[in-house]
Amino acid sequence: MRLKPQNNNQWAALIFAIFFLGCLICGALVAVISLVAPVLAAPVPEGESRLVGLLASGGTFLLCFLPTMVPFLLVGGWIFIKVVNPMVAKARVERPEVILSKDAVRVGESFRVTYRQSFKSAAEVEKILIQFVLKETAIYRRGTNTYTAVHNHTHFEQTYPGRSYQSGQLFEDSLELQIPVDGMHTFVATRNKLQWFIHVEMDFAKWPDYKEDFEVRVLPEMVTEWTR
Amino acid sequence: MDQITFNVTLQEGIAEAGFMRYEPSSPISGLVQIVPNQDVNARKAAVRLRWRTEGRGDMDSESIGETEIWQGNLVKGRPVQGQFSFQLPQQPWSYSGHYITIVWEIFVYVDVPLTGDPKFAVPFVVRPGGKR
Repeated sequence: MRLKPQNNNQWAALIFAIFFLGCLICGALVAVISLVAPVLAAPVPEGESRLVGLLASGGTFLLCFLPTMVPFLLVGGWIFIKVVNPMVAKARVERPEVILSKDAVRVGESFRVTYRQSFKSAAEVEKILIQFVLKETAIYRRGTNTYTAVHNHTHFEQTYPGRSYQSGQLFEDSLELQIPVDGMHTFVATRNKLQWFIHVEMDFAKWPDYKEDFEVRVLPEMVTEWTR
Repeated sequence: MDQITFNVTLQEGIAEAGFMRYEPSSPISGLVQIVPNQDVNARKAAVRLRWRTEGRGDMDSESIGETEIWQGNLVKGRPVQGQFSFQLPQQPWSYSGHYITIVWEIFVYVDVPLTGDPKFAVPFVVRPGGKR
């Protein structure tokens, strides 16, 4: 069975970030035009330079407009970095192939995962990490705000040392994993979730890190000698 | 003293670590005794099989079934008894983690108009093979 990466709504976030920054730029342009245009249009008094008026208007703009825009610029910039960084990281590698040896996984069951990913361009990889985790996601409200608390129980971890990869080169490995006998099946309710993930991290030198999660659905059945 | 004393006995499970454990999809049955310590103007008394979450997240819950064991007022000194029998579903299994706990329970309540309902819950474990 081929696993799909988790959808992180990155496109929606990117559109939001572009819209947000676009609004800021447009607002700034309108403000500049509305402050500068009257100065340019007005007749220059005798003995004064038009530059004085422009500087005065620019000063007013900087004093009034920029301080109010700073929080918006910071928030917009932060969103932009959060959204763009993972996309930049993905520019170095192809979409990975993650294949499970079984169609359905039960509690206590062993299975094999094959991970295969090729590089779009040459890259200096500092570390590759593959983890098998049970992720607890708890959503709660405090007043009018909604928060999400996440805790990962790591059941398996494999680290690969850093090395150079050439364009078109393949990173591939096959791992034997097991849902613990005293483990839990996948549970998804409205505000509480228990999900198993294969988490992959590639740390690039001087480049944003690549991170991706692949969900492994675990059935509410215990593996037995007969079903193994 | 509470206005009602509840006694719940679970049957068919396996006693483990202070709780009764049941296999998923297995039957669960038991006996409920309601002892009124005063006259109670009640509509009914009922037993409910349910699971709910505890922990950091807001609560998720589901009632699997309900059995009415009494209708009408409760009189001091006249205990009421009733039996219940339910079929457990395949999931969710009981779970105790960092932020999330899934609790299965037999929940008994007396429906009293215009006031808080006296209630009582007996937790048990749903899990195959006696783990966790």
